[in-house]
Amino acid sequence: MIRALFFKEWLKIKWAFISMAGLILLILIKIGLNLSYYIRILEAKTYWYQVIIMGGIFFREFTYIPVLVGLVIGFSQFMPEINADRLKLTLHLPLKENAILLYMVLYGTAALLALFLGTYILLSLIVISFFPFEVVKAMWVTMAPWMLAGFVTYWVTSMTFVERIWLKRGLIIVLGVLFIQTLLNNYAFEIYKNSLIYFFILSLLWSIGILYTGYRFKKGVMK
Amino acid sequence: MENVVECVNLTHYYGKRLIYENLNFVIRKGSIFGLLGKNGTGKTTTINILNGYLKPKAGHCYIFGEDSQNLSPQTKARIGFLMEGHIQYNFMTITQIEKFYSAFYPRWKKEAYYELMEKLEVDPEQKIATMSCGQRSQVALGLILAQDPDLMVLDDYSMGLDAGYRRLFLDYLGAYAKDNNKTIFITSHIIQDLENFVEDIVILDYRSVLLSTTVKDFKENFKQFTMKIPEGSKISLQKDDVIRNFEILKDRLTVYSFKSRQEVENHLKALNIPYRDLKQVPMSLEDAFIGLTGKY
Amino acid sequence: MIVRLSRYLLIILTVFVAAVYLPQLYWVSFEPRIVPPMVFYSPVLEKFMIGHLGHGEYYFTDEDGNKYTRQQADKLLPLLNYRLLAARGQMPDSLLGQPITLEEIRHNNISMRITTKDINPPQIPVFPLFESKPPRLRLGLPDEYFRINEVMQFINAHTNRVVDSLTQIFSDALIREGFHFPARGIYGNPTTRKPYDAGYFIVDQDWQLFHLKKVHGKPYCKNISLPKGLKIVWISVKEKEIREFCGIAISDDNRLFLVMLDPERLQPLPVKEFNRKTDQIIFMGNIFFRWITIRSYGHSTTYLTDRQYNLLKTHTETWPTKEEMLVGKANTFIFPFELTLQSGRTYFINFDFTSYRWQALILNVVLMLFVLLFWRREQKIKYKWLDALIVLVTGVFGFIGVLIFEHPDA
Repeated sequence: MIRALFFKEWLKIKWAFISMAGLILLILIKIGLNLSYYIRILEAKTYWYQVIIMGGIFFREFTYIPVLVGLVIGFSQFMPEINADRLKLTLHLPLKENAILLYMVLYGTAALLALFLGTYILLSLIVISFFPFEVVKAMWVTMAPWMLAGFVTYWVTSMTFVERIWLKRGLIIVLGVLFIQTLLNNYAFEIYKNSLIYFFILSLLWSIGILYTGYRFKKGVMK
Repeated sequence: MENVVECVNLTHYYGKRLIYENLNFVIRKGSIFGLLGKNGTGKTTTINILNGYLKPKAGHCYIFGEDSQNLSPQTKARIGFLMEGHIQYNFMTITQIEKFYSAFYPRWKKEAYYELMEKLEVDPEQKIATMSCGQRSQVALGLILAQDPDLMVLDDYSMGLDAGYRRLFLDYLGAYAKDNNKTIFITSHIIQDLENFVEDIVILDYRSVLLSTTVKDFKENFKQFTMKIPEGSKISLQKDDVIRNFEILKDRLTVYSFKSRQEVENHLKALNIPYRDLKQVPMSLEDAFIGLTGKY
Repeated sequence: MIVRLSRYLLIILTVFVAAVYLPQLYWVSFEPRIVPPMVFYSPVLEKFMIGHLGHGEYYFTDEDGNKYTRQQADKLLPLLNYRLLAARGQMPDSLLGQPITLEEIRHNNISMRITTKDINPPQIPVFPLFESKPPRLRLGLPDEYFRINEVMQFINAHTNRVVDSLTQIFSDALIREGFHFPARGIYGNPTTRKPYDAGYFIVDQDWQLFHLKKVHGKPYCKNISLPKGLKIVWISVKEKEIREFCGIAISDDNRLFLVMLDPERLQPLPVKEFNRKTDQIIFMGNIFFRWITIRSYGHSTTYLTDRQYNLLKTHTETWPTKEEMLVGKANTFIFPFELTLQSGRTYFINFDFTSYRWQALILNVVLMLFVLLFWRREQKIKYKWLDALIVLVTGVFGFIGVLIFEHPDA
């Protein structure tokens, strides 16, 4: 049954997933090309200076990409459910409603994880060919909060779709945006080194928000 | 005989607006139950409460003994749900959707679904979103028949369908229910189709429950009398417990009543109504419904 | 049940967001401009001279409280203002019994500032080792960068590969001086814009301190002997024209040292109280004196020494902080605490909580009563007690959360 649920989710997000993977790939290619360009034109030692000593982040594009991915996957997964109240069909399936909602979110989260891990792996391969390993490690720590922001965006999007009342949706969105902003600083390498664990725990709190709005959906809260 | 559905003292408001108060009804196993009423009288509200998508202000609904707000997964498997407009997962093809649902229902009857699909003559890889209204209703019907539920809840199966599809739908459903002693709960505002389909009915009006009875009793007890009156005469007539509803058009007065012909005549005489040529007119279910609820 | 849990998690998130943004909004609206005074020493008066920013105007006071205008103060601080005075023809040719030239003054004027941000900033631990005696006199970027783990490894930037020869030579040099790998800290000034290159100061596993340079391509390495138990946790390396020293070292017990050259040694500075997490160091000097100002929050202490770093005098200044002003006091009645993610003290993003403000309990109780008695009256109080508790503790932050995310069965 769970496999069938996942199948449904895949059908919904298939194109969003593929297009986001494509987008990420294109950006990775761009970064790779830029790196090789600067290393050639500026001379490696000068470009190393700019990155390692001056702290120039050469993958800044990825600050907002996870947020975009979270939004797109969230939209593609939940828009069809809310459209014409299809969620009623989904929740009518012979499983506990909370379990259904959580499986849906789990699937989307897994899709994001796949995309983000893929990004990490591929970007690491690109970076290690031009820079020492310390730069790769710094890149991991620097990008982690942005990836976290991507997950939060997805969780906020999913719970917002299920909420029916526009005022409440607006409040959730405002809250979500303010929270996500705290994760998106990109002025230097590894600035979240000390606080990443706390941000991680706080971000996780968003993951079951859909149970709250889902319950309100079931109750038929209209006002 | 067990009650598949039992609704007790259902009361609901939308904000300050009362939908209805103290709606009580029971659906026995194997019966076909119709909830009739004009648009806006609370039919979808009741379906939503039944399915657990609306918490009523007061009252409870029990399905197979469970409170509808908290149906267990096993009970949900026994209920087939058709949403208004035959809403389904449009992004799936007809093969995908069958494959999807079959995983959830242990009694899934694939043949029941594909039997209908063959008649449709659509490409198995066609997305439901690209099908017509009528074709989609077939898909929804096929899925519900394949699920083989003990109770079917159909919220306005007729929306957007022309006469052919509407008839097809009811034919299949009726045959299926009778063969297997299934229970059906159906709402609609197209009364004429339901006449030979439903057995028990509840009629809703704005803010109230008008009637809870069987189609047979309703048609037997609710009578329509037409008579002639002088044209243009100022008749003061009001709805009372004899005259359930009435209509004056030119020189014709039509009176609807649950009382006998004699009682009605006596009542008219007592009110000094100058009528002549009183005749009782047989009514279809739709006539009776309009007679009871009015044309507006 | 889990839906209630989900709601409380959302309320916690609201408290977090509100605790970060609301105080920020408050301070953006009301933060006062505070310019701490700057402490100098007048060789003319032989007194401390303190520069203040008044109402748009700069003025000076001396340690006895006398006031001076900027004009008046110019002449009292000749070593600071020598160019201005020379242009006016008001520059004396001797001070404190010693003849002085403008060139000597310029050469000996020092100013270094180390803020908390500068100490242990985000840094990728890979460094360029400059050639200290460059053939064409201009410092240039080397082709190799180094890291110190089990060895001192050099990597060629162009090939991104380890250069074994350099690695071998330099690691051996370190080992010969008694270095125990890996390094705890590598401190230098990797820029070409400095008068000369002092190389790097490296702290090894056992807290020994080493000085490392590349001279004519070969390693220069010296183990700088330290008093027992001294652990250096940061060195701010700044090469100045004057070659007496090349930086300031900080120990883990917050003592300050000047890193002297030829020979290398750590010169203790007579600073009594310093906290590297909160205080700024302003090191100034001229031909005659050195004075080190430790600037904390709302107060600063300046230590005046001679050229041999013997303490001569100290001076303390205080100024009102925003917490002492009305806006600061009002703030404590509104927000039971503040959460700052980006304090000005570090480049890192840390969870920086203020201490709890008990004054805010007044408002908290009012809000709590509102939630209990007026909000959603139809709900029985026994379902609202946890909400009330949250509002009591987190005040306006929890209040917003409880209001936005109403009880699911409300």
